[in-house]
Amino acid sequence: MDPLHAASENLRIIRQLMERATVYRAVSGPTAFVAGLAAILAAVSGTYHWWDTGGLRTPFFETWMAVLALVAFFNALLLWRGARLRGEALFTQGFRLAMRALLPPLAVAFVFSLIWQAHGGDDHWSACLWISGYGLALLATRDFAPRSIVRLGGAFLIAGLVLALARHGDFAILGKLSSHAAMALTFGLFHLLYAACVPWKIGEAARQFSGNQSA
Amino acid sequence: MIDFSQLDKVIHEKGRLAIMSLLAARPEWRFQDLKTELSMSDGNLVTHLRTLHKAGYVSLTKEHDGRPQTSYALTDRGREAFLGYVAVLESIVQKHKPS
Repeated sequence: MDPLHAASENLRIIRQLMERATVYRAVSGPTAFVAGLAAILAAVSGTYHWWDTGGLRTPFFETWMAVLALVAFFNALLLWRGARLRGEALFTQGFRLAMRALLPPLAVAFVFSLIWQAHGGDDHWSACLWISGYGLALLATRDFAPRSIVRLGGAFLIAGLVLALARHGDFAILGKLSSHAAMALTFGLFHLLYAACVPWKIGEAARQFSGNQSA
Repeated sequence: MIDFSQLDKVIHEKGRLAIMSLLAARPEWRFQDLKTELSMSDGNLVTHLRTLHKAGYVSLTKEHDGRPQTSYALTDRGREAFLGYVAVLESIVQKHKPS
């Protein structure tokens, strides 16, 4: 093997091993709690139209995009705070690695649901797409995420598929769940359960968020 | 021509390079986790870790958490050597890159 190939190969091995060893928690306890709470509130208000006065409805797509924006903002705030406390850059190697894994499945779910909604499709299928897409995104971080994240991803993926199949087969209660209820059950309940099981210190969560690689 | 003698002989071995890379990515590794991650036999891993420890690149901590456990971490000297090794590899790549 010539020197260039030998050196490149060694660098590739080093990078691969270090990336695999990087621990990165894509969803921290506080973020999961805020996401869970926001999802349940959105589902309740979406179902009962609490602010539906004078014919003003709470459209499914817009409601959940607002929840996503709120949680993303909270997450960004947490990241920024953690990075500032440690005197580090906001976009660490762990963050970039997580984004590379998370974004493709999320983008697919988002674009397909957007098209589906634009064609007047049933909200329920958008919910199933988002739930299983989010599950796939979390599972894509399995090489560097703690086991709890992988379990959360698996739970979302299974729930998304089961909800889709139940709806398709009109199976029992699951098949009759409203789209908001499906979102509350998964994005709400799953996140709250996850928040109850993972470290809750903001500093700890921020540290895990940014990854702990040092070389 | 590149002078390969610049490369640290202790690190420039497939198994030890893998161990050093993992240790550089996380503050501490338990023996069992290293073994699982690298799919190495106990004997092989122990031999490499002993070599790295003798060179002063790796420190070990023994704990008794129900059962005895040994954890490994990079020393400052080890981190410096690893970064130096990576820098030499990068310079090789730079010099041999077609312009």
